[in-house]
This record gives sequence, structure tokens and C-alpha cells, in this order.
Amino acid sequence: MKDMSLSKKRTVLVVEDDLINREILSSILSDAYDVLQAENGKVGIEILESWKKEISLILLDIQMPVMNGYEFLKTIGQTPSLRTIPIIITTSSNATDDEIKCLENGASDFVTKPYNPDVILRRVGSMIRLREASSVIDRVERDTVTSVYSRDFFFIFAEKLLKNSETEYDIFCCKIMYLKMLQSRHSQAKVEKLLIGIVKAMEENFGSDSVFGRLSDSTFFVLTPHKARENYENISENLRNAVKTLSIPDAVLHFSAYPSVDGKVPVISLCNKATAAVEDVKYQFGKQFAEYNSEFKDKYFRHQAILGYMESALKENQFEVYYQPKYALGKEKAGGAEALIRWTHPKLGFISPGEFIPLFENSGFITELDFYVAEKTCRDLREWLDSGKPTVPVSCNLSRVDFSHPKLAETIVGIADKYSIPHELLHIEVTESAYTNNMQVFLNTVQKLHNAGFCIELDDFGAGYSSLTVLGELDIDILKLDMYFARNMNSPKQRLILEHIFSIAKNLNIEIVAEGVETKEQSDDFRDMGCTYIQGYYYSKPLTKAQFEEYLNK
Amino acid sequence: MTTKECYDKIGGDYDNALSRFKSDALVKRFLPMFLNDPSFGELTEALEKCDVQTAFRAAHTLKGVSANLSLSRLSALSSEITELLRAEKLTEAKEFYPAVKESYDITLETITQFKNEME
Repeated sequence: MKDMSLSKKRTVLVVEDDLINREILSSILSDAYDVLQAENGKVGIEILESWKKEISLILLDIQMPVMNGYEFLKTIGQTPSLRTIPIIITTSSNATDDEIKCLENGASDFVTKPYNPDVILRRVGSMIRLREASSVIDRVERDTVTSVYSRDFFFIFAEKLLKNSETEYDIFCCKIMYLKMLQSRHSQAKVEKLLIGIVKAMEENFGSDSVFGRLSDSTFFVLTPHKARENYENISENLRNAVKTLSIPDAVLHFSAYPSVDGKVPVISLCNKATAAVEDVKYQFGKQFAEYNSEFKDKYFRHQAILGYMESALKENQFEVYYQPKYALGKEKAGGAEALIRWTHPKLGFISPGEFIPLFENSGFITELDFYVAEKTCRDLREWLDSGKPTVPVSCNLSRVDFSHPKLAETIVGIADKYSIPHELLHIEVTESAYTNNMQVFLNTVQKLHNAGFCIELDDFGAGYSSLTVLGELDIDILKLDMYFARNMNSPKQRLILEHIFSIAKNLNIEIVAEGVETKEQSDDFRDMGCTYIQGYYYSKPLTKAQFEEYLNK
Repeated sequence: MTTKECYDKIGGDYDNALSRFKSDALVKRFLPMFLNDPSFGELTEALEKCDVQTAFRAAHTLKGVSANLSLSRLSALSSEITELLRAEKLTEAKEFYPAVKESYDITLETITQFKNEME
């Protein structure tokens, strides 16, 4: 009995402009093959785009209008998904140069006109068999670029291994971040070299007792005998170092591991969990590796819940604006306040901004929330102004993400003007991280806001990658010292740095807010250095609107 | 008119066609297709316009088609004009053109008659 997989009629594409030649070829082939016809190279490529999985071989004429055979060969050669399909050139016998040129351009063989059906059928048949014996099966089983297992075959082999082995296995995931962007910035050859290099480094690190697969464009998976978390952290570091020597040295890799897999669980679902863990790496500053464990699982589900609830939370006014006073040292009373967001969810309870803000930043929702806070602040300011209550300038935060909003400055001006708030009463807090993201847009937007009369406060100064140059390039009115300084004031070195910051600020006519001040000693120290404002629990925690009104009345 | 008589009249090689297509029925099926082949018309038009590239492609196609149908004389003549056009010898190709036309006209006329007799 014939093998079913072999009994299926293969499909052959005939690309030939002349109807008669096409018909003759098709009629020669039609007993043994399904034949698709294209009257020129362009149509041929179109047919290939939709039928590439089915097409086993192409018969190609060279002299054609619209897109000739050479252009067709060139296009195929540049398209990885197409270039494994064998191509036989149909040619007139006395133009040997053409044939050589075609063979050099990736054609596999040629047949001459007039067509001899026996010759054609034999050449087509053997070419298809040759390809199926090697490349076709390989193509399905192996990723064309890196030769590791393709998605389906990785699952098959991983499951086989898990069923038949006593060894405890882990799943390791390596994700190439922003691959789409890399593909648009670099040549395909460079991207392919990167992928091949990464796979080579993985194979060196994991060894031959592991199974490798490429499950999507940007993710590689490894099924490997169980290792400790430290081993994966080391391997991750090795792989990152390896990338630095490859074709795109600044490519970013993230890693995750799902330890001790259960052979009864489908590999695909294990891979999905490892993917969830690898997706989470980007939320964690300075981290490159995440392990899928019970702690991660809880956090992951919680994050999914937070992201699921955020929009309804905004509609239902679950977000509340708190005000933390900035104590003016000379005046010995509140000289301003920072508007802070608080979220109490009916089911999840109090959710820390430290938890939800990074999630909102990643989803882009932060911009909506920042506008909401600005609006709420302006509404409260209006109320205080109207009722003749004491009023101080209030600062609102703009996330680095907000600077992708095309009309950020205009929106803020619009909100302030909607409530007729004198612009000097609304301060804008920005962070240096926005500066490093898209410098020019950031500088322009801050300039616009400053020109519109809003005070600009630079938040978290001294945290992360602070740079003094930002003070020269930005029109900053107020510098907010990160709480790091308040906590490390006893170190003589830090003190010296602080004194210099104060001196620079003074010369630049910038006022300073010290954040995170919790003790009288810290406050006194800052006072001695010439600090203008103190923000911190020593003077006041963040207050509700009513509490803040009371605070101002004192 | 038998298929062989038709081939003889136009300087074709019936035996060659039969050996390749395996049956007279298949030869009969393919031969009348030549009546609808546009390549000679394209060649004529391109030569008038002195468009060497298009003329070359049309001649090349005509050569391939006639060879495929074992129309030996027309195939040989169109092969010659193809080579002239490949070398971009437009004047010489134009001088050679009437010979191709003569063979093409006889071929067209005979196959038309052959087809009409079949029907």
C-alpha cells in the first residue's frame, strides 16, 4: 500500500508568459501534479505568497514581461520562506549563458524547449523527491534560520523526552526584545546572524542533553535537565555577554525558567507560563531573568487583575488624589504640595502606586491617569480659590510615557485653563527617565510647559542615572532630591555631594525640595544647607483633600 | 488533411511532435492553440515601433512556442531573428522579418484550415 503522505498530489507552479507553452507544460504535468499557472513573475510571486506551503516546485520561464525570470529568482532568493522551493528553468536550448546565469541565481535545474514530457516529468519528480528527502522535512521540523526545532516539533520532542525519561526537566525561555524594531533597523542578514549566534551560545551553555526550539520569531525555548536558579542566572549572563560579540551587539535578551516541569502538563502550557515570566522581566528594573514559581504566579495573576480593573476603576472614581505638603523652611508652613494618586479597589483593597504605576506605564494607561490627577487637582484648586481657603501651588506628576502623547503640553494647559487656574499654582513634576527616552521631544515639551508659566520640578534627582547636564538643558525651577540623600546624610562623601548640588542649584536659581525626610535631624541638616522645602513624613504624610484643607488652616 | 500532412505543409516535424506528446490526439489538441498565440503580432508591432526589448521577448516566445509545437521551420527562423534582436541588430532583424512573416502566414493559414476540417 502506498504511503498516504506520498500519495498526495504535489503542487507545481508554472510561471510562463506564453499561453501555449503554459498549457503544454500543464498538460504534461497534470496527471501527476496539481498545477498552478502564472503568466508572469509578479503573478507568480503573488501565487507563492498564498500557496507557498503547498508548492513543491516551480517551473520558470526567463523571458517574460512585467517581472522576468531573473527578477523572480532574485525575489525568491531574498525571501527565506520561499527560497527552499526548487526552481527548474524552462529555456531554449541554444542560450547557455542564460542557463548558467539562472543556476547562479538559485535555480536548481533547467529543461529545454521543445518540451520533452518524459524529461520534464523525470526532472520534476526527482527534484521534488530530493527536496522532500532533505529540505522539506527539515523545513517543517527545523527553523529555517537557526536549525533548532520549529514550534510543533519542539512540543513533540519535548513531550517524548518528558514521557520517556526519569530526569527532572526545566523549561528555559530566551526572548529577543524589540525584534520587530531590530528587523526594521538592521538588514535581514544581520538579524539572522544574531539569531544564529544566540542559538550557538545557548547550545554551548546547555549542552547536548537539552532540546532547543524556536516557538515564535523572538522566543527560543530549551527543555533542559533541572538546574538551580543561580545556574540560570549565570547562563543568562553568559548569553547576554555573547550577544555583545554578535552582529547586533545592543540587542536585549530577557530570560525565564519554569523549573521542574510536570510531564503530564502539555509542553505548550509550560511554555506559555515561561513566556508570562519572561514578559514580566521588563517591569523589573535591572533584571534579565525571572523564574516562574508560586510567588510569580500569584503576582502574575494579580497584575493581570490590576490591568483588567484599571479602566473601570477610573470611571468609578476609585482613584483618589492625596496631597503631601511641601514644608517651606523659611516660612515655617506649607509652601506647596504634591498631588499623589491612591487606589483602593473594592476587591483587591489598597494597591500601592509602586505596584500599579509600572503596569500602567507599560500599558500606556498612565497618561490617562496623569491627566485625571491633573484635572482633579485643578478642580480642587478652583474650589479652594473660590471659597477663599488658603491655597498653595500643587505639583502633578508626568510619567516618561506621557511624553509620547503628541499634545501633552496643550492638554495640560487645557486642563488648567478649563478651571481658570493661574498657571503658577500648578507645578509639573518630570523625571530624568523621560529625558533619556526621547530627549528632543522631552526638552521641547518641558520648554512649552515652562513657557506657559508652569513651574517645572525635576523629580527623583540623584536616583538611578542622574546627570548634571540635565540641569543645564532643562528650564527647571525646582529640584526634588531623591529620598536616597535624606537616608544617607551621615556619610561625609554624600554630604559633600549634597553641598555641591545645593551650591549649583543656588547659582542656577533653582529651589530644592528634599524628599523622604523623616526626622528632625535630617530636616535641620537640610535647613543648614539652604534647602527651601521639605517633603516627608516628618512634616506630613500624604493627606486626603479634607485633611489637607485642615492642614493648611493650621 | 492528416496531422502529418498539416505538419509537412508548414515545414514542421510531426514525428518529433508525436514522439514528445505520445499521441496524435494530444498533438491535435495543442496545435490549434497556435492560432491564438499573440507573440508574432507583438513582434510585428514592436519592430514597427523599433522597440528592441519587446521585439526580442516576442521573438523569443515565438521561438519557444513553435519549437514546442515542433514547427521546425518557423522555430528556426524565429530563432535567427531572436539572436539578431538579442544583439540589438534592429536593422538586420527588420530585413530578416519578411522571411519569418512568410513562414508564419503559411503556418497560420494551414493550421486554420486543419482546425476547420477537424470541426
